[in-house]
Amino acid sequence: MKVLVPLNNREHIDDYLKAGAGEFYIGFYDKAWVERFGDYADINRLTGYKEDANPFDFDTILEIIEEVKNKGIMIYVTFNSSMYSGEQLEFIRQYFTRLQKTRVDGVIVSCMELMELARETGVAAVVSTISGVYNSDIVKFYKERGAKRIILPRDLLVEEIGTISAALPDMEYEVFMMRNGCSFSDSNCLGLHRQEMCAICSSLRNSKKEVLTNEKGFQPLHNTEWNNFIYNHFFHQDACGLCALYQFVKMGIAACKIVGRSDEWEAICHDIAFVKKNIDIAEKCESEEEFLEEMAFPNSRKAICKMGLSCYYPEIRFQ
Amino acid sequence: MAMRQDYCLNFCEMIQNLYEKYVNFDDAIEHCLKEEGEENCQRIYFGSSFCGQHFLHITNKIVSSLAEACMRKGIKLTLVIPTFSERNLDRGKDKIKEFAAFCENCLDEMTVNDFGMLDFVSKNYQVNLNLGRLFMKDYRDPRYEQYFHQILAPKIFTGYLLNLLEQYPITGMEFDPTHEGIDFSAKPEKIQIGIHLPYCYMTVGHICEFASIPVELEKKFRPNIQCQNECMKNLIRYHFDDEYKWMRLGKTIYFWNKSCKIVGTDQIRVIYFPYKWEVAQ
Repeated sequence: MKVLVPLNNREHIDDYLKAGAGEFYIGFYDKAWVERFGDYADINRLTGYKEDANPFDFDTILEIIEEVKNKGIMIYVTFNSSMYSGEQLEFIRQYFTRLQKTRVDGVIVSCMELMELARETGVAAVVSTISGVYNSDIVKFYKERGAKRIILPRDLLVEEIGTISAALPDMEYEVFMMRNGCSFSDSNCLGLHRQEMCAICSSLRNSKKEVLTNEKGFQPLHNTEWNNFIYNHFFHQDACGLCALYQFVKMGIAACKIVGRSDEWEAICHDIAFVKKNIDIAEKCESEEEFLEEMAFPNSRKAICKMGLSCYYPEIRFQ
Repeated sequence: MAMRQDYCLNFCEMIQNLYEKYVNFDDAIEHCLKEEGEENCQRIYFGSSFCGQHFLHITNKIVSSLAEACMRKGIKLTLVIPTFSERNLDRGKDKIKEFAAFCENCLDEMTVNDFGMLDFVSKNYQVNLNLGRLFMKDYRDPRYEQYFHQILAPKIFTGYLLNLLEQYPITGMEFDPTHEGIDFSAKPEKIQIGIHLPYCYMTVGHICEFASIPVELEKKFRPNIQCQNECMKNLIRYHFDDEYKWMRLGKTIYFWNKSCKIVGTDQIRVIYFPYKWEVAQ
């Protein structure tokens, strides 16, 4: 299993690799796209954060692809806005055509239209979590249309990931591993991600709210309010999936993903190192119990390893 | 020329509440129509767009009662199928089979919300198919006024959609009222457009806040946990100092946008969700 890492700092490619990065993904920002389609049109899910999340223009990422390939590492370019108009797809065709001439390992695509475009232009397609591949029937649909890899949603159980990967083993799978949990589905969370305001999940957490129940008496309302308090204050303030690594290694999952395209490179490197170290431990362990005893925890353990509320896969530790 | 509107009721996500409140669906239908000043309802949608657990919890008794009322009133039924997580996929398919059998005489349409289910239903049922609201992924966000106050041209009307229409018996597409208005002039000719009113869904996930209410702390907020329909008893209203009546109903966050203008088509299905934000408690 490889550690898939956001490449958001060109000067530190070697630091990412030294920490244990096995693959990179990268996005770009294109002023020509914005001029053509407007400020609200996304090339990828973080276009609204402009150069903060996508520090490179398209020509630069073509250079970076060659630089990374010269080091023998895989790299993918992300096109994961929720959907694109016909006109936008034709614009993207130019990007894909140029990418096809590089040694890029694939494009991360969010919709069937881009899958089709990738096929037409001869670029390998990785199906983004934005596509919402929640079950084996959906995997089958994408597989039959030429997907190279499926990025499984972060709101799936480990058991479900195991069932899917066993049902359709001749497919590469990728899972979420570190940073930035999400309380909704990547595939159907349709609020804008932009600099001006936080994502809708944060707006909801921070808004004035009325918690209502149609059950009478003190206790039902108390229970609903208490549950909402925990949800708002403690659920997925951070996210980590390290404890599930043993199972993922045994399932043959191809890559685990560290998110955070707008995060500091040092913080990303810290996470890479812990994930890589734990993959190495998992590969040597003979049982999950042994792995859970032997595994290394990140420095933030005190804060995040509490009651499963910051776990991508809490069912491993908190059964 | 005035636009023809076919009025339909959407009992998805609330059918159990209606059943408990009205005992029979003749009364529920009459009440919902009266509240909106409508005389007729051509079709009722039932099932769930958003939640596999909710779908699995709908009993055959409730569906049977709905089907009998619809037979008496000459109303057609559309079964709405959510995206099932892997662990619920087989049970979901079994449930579809049961519902189809109970509604044999008035069920002529199913709405699917993912490609896997599109393929499955088209191979196993002789019904018309709708692409459900989870297929329509144009961003919607009334927090950004400039973005919201526009007439949206939905992005889904692409060449790929035309290919899909050739492969599957898709006759309809369901949209949410995402913007100030929506222009359907680019829709494929044979496609029936349905618009969900008065609420637009903005976000949804497989983790349900309400399902975690009775669950011990370390097991809260897990995907698709077994629930006891807590969504039928609880609601959260959010106040952003705007007019959009935000709410969390089940796993889904909605905002209110009843006045969404529809242009570019001379006929539309209004799929009305008779949920009352103001009185819900």
